[in-house]
Amino acid sequence: MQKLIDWMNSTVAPKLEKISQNHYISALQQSIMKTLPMILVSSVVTVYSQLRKHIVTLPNLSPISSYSFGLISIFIAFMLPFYILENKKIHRTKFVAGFTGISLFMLFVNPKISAAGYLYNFTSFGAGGMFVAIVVGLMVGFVFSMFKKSSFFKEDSVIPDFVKEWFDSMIPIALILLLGWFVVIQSKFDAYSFIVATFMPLVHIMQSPFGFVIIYFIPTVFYSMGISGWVFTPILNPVFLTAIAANAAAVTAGATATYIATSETLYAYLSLGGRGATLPLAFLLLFSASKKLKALGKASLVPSLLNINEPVVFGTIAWNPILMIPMWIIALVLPLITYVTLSLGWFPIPASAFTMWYMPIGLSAFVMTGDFRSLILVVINLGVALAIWYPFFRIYEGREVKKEQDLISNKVE
Amino acid sequence: MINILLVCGSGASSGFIAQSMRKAAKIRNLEAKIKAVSDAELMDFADEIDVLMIGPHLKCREEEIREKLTGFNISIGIIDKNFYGSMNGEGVLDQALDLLKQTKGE
Repeated sequence: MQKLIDWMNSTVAPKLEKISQNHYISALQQSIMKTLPMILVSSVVTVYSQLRKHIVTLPNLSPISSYSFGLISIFIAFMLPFYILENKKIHRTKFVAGFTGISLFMLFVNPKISAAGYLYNFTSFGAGGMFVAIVVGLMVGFVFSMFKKSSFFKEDSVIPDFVKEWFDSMIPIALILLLGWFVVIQSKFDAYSFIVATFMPLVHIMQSPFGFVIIYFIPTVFYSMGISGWVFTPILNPVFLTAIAANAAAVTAGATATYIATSETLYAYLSLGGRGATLPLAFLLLFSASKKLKALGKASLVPSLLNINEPVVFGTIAWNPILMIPMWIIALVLPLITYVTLSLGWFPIPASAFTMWYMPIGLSAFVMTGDFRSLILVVINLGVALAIWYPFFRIYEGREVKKEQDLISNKVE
Repeated sequence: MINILLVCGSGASSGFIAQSMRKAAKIRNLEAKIKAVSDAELMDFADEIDVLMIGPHLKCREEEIREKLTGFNISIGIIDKNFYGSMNGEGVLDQALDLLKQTKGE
């Protein structure tokens, strides 16, 4: 165990550090974070829609969702080139690069051109186009950063500076749009579908039982060592968002949701009290015989009820093998139970975008699915998590109690 | 007036610490502005803060954050993981003040 911890610290952690310093990956992470408020608005509509099922006279607000979460690919196509250039400190062209991102994305969506005008399929702008937006964004960011230093004009040119600026930012824009024009319009190549199809295997792997367990397990292992799993979000989020959008579309069309791996599933059924299902642990701490653990339990209870578990993790789990092991077991067992029971159709698969992860468990599962059966799975998973935490917690508690008693008896002597 | 910014993945857990730090500052009659944000919002605050405290789980991004903030006069530190675990705002406040002293030699 100690060897593993040393290896993680000396080999894996520096590698993660390297990756996180990559301007492109960091830009992807930032872009996704920046679009969260737009998805959050859509989450509010989800809550409202549950209400509307019972009070049918309320107006249908789902267009609000279409014009927020439903435009996410356009937002990403702008943000990604913007952040790549910002991270590279090329402030001069960062906005223009963002605009070019939108331009190329709209080109790739490839509208039907008829006498009535350009006919866009609205759903292309939503989460289904995330991968296209990412590829477009990375390309645009790359081209613009290539043109960072090379200028059309010499230093001592007689042309005024502002004219130089125009020309210099024109070149990358023109180059990118010419490329888009050539690929999509001139060669009639459906770049959008091609990119979506290219990433489909990734989506399928992550939607398989094995993939589902792994994508929960690995970030949890890192988290148990006090390392944020943020490195994984650029890979996971596009797949999750694609999946939840597909589920929502299926349900709207009268079919059933099929994609299990979504962040909604994670929030509803797995991360009970935070990643690694630490809510039972927070309660065990609260009722502990050890003074230190009881204090930690008190400090972390409210955050835990809101699914914020950094206090529990840093207070007790991080780099403490006795509690890291149960967290790893939970990160394997709960996804497995959840995947199997959801695919058997025993419990509902979340089918509406919902990112208010701080909503207390149970309530969140109900809002996402609108189905009381979801609560049964929440209770089962909570019980299993408690059963896994309990024996390990007792060992840890025993040691802490003994430490405290030794301290007291030393003082008495 | 000291301006302290805490940063973590979503600004949620550090939000609890910030709240506890504000309490501690009030008791000490310390004039301080303490805020918690997600790392994506960090740059929006770069030109108004004196101290930046990074959540311990973002330690692997410390270097990247430092690089981004070169040129700004900001003292940067990692929040002690024990303070984070016990939601000890007073401890983090001390840490931030020490950091400011060390780097600015006040």
